[in-house]
Amino acid sequence: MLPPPWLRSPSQALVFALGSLGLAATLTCAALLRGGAAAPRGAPPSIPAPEDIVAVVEARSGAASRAATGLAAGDVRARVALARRWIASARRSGDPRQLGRAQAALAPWWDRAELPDEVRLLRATIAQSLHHFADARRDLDALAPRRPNDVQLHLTRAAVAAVTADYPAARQSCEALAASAPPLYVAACKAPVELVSGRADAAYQELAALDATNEDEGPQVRAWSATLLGELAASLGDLAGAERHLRRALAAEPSVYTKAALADLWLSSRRPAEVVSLLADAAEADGLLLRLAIAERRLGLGSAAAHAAQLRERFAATVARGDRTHRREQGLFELDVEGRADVALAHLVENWALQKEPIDALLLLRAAAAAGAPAAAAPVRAWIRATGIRDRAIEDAERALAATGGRS
Amino acid sequence: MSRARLALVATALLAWAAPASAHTLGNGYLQLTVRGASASGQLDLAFRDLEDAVGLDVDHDGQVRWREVVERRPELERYVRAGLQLRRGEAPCPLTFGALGAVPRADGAHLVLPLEATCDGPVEALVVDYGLVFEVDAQHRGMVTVSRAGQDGSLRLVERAGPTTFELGAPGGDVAGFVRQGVWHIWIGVDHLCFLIALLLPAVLRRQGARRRPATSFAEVARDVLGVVTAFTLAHSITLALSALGWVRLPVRFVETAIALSVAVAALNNLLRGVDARWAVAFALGLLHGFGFSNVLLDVGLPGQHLVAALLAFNVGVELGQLAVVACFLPLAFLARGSRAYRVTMWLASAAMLVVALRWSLERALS
Repeated sequence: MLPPPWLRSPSQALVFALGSLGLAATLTCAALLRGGAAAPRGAPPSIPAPEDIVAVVEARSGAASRAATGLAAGDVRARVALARRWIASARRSGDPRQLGRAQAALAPWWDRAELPDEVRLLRATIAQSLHHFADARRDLDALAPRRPNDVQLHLTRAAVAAVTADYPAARQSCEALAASAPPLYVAACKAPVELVSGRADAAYQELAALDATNEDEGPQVRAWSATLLGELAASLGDLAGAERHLRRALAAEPSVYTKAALADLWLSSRRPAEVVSLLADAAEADGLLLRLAIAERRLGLGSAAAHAAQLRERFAATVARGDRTHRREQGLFELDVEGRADVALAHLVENWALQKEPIDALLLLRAAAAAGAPAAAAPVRAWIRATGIRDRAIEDAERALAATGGRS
Repeated sequence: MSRARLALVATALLAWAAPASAHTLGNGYLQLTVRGASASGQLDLAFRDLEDAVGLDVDHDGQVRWREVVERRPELERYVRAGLQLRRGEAPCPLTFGALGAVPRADGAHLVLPLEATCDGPVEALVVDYGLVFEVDAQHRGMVTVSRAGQDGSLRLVERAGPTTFELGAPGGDVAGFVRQGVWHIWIGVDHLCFLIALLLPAVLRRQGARRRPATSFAEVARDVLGVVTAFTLAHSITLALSALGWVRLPVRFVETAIALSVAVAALNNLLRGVDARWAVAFALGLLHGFGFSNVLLDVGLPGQHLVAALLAFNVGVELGQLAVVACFLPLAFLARGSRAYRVTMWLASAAMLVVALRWSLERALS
């Protein structure tokens, strides 16, 4: 057999060999260099004009912060007051950076085993807000027997217990409230527990009756009970009623939480345009920006891409700082913005280990259906059977999952 | 219900308000590149954090304007000096700051403060004592990256004020690091490549009287190429060693200009059919290129010990990169040597290199 034409003479063979060698050497060098690239950096810095506004801050909040660093380490009164102010401010803005400021105010005690009760309670509140549920629970359990009449303590303990699916403890804390708080508080405290226990209807009736006769509570409490009524109504499938309650809550006192609940209601009933008008100017918080991006994407708006990029960057920054407590938001982002159901599913499975609220169950069911992995939703189905929850959105998602062939 | 009780309840309502309000917590970014005895880079801190830590909103209107930031520069510098120390072992590396800038980050707009630390000797381990912003925001995190010039950095997350040590090892890292630097330099060093290619273009031709004809055997071509490449390697290795060991130092501008001129000479030699012994040209002018390589090596930073190994590794890298280019060029040139197109290409390429090299020479001489 004749050799191929490019191998017929020794010099041609040599040329061929050398050519291959060159290619191999080039590839080797290229491989060597791949690791040598410089570490990626952020966008290049710019120099603003003198009158450019580079940040909007709460006037004089900086001065308050700096004053705090000058407080005596043992000044419980002043430090507790300051921490409480920051926590309240975090609640209004949904900005957890203010929780870090509250924590800084309590720095002298933060890592202590022995600390004043008021400080321990605030430490638990901050930990809960940062999704450090185990830390929060430890402090709250230590305080509970010592402070039977502490409304804040029992409300916070009930919330932590409910999020982590310890419903008996949640119920117990709510009942402990009865001694020191009006019945509206007890009913509102119990509402999330009743919702997941299949008694949303009775809880709604009770809370609605108390809410209607309530006259002497401030806007925060009215917003609180209206938000809970909205959630109960949505769970029962009464979307119009849910919207009415949530709007009432926003009128009493706007909060990031209630806006997100209303946005979710509209997204689930295919009304993305209303989400955009609700959030277009007020989506600083990640949870709201996320819902805005989903709505914009469904409407095919050009702004969706920029908002998605912003969220992508924020999640990357969160992960880079070792924070794994945003998996619910990350899961929702992957599911409804990026359209990567399998990535969403991974986040939501991990999220389920951290928190078990109805929205977490709903998202995990949806992601499992979208990813065609019904087995991944088995823990949620077990939870549904164990709690007896009856929730319209969860039932719909379960049916959709079953339709994908997910009978397990 | 008393007012105090109501305030407590409002705090307690966080229980329901928190989960959906996830929002990025605050980060500070410190990126440093180590070269020899100095570390330079930038520090990014959020304007909002600096407002709380230092105070930027001078007129208390709730808006931080750039002129207010500039006005507060002395306080900013004092704050950074107090909260950020770099050390080589126990010895502090004093900081100097560059021009302020702004950059958007995931958690809001940040102030960019370029900085340079000068240590008392070559840095093999840098201690970064980062303690900024924590006193006002306990959830603040410092994202500190330290790298040696031209290498990957390592990122550390600083969760509370305190020192973090970045082990950089010997400059250039390991031997492979220096090999990589060598390859990298020859490949991005267009001037070195142009010089080599200008010298190699005529290798597949040989002179017959006033004309050039295709070479007949590959062995003949290979001998010519080997001569040129060996002469170039030998020459630049000699001057690289002399310069890197500190025995001969030439001004950077002079070396760079001379290297550009050497490319022009090599190209002109092709156009004018000047010297046939191109290996001699390669040797004489290759001496200049060695000084250029050593400037790169000095920029990366030479280790105090294992200097010779690093030098050797860098040179091996240069030769590997060079060999890859020759091995790709030669077979193609050999196959194409008989065509008229090859000679036209050679002429055009040489002319283009001449023009470009003369421009480089001017730019470098005048820069």
